[in-house]
Amino acid sequence: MAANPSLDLGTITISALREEHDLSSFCCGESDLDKFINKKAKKLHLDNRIKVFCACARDSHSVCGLYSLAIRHEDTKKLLAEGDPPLPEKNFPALYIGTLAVSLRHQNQGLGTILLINALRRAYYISQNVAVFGVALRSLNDRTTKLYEKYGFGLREDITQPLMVLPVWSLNDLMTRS
Amino acid sequence: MAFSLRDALRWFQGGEKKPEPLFRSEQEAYDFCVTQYNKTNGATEELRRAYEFYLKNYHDDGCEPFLGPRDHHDFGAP
Repeated sequence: MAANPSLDLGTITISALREEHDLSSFCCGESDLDKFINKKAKKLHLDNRIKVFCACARDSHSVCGLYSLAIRHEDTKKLLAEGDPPLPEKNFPALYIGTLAVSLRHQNQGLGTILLINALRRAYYISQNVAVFGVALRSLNDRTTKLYEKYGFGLREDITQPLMVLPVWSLNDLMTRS
Repeated sequence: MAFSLRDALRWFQGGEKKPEPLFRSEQEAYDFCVTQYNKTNGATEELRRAYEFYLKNYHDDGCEPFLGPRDHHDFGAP
């Protein structure tokens, strides 16, 4: 996994979303995700419905990538529509990684891996205090599904943007035996 | 399949049937996770490599729990 010298990962900091972070022009190339990030993410963070974490170069407020964490899954498509049906994961206590995205000009440089593991680190500490079965996310496409499967996420359904789950015991194993 | 008045009304309105939950019970969700854990035998090599990449390249983790007040909570109450 070679890092492109144009993005020095050593200068990246990941912190909770702050007022000065501008998400209105963030672009990762996935239109639904971009729409959600540009229009909804900050408000949902402010309402405490999700927690957004942003990766920025040190001393900069320009967001290179981000992810969100929540106990309940928020479907980006449903968030943009009226009259949402009940969420189908109601029997599944999990931590949900939502909207994991890297801006177009910072893609393929390892930042997505950094963001995923950072999210798993936070999920691990939460799981030490709150009972959950795993860490879940919705995979964007076949490429990410294959990648998450290699990481040990189980595929729950065979549809577009399927729910995938990393069991909490795999997470414990990673954090305590690596 | 049992008759559901709600589904019938949805159908008359032209709507689709209410989506089934992904897990019918908490036990089913738990069993799914146990099976997946046993299938991969814990953290996979690929996940461990990603974790090593993280530790090697990212030095400002800041994920450990902190029980005191945070000074980065710049947003007030809604």
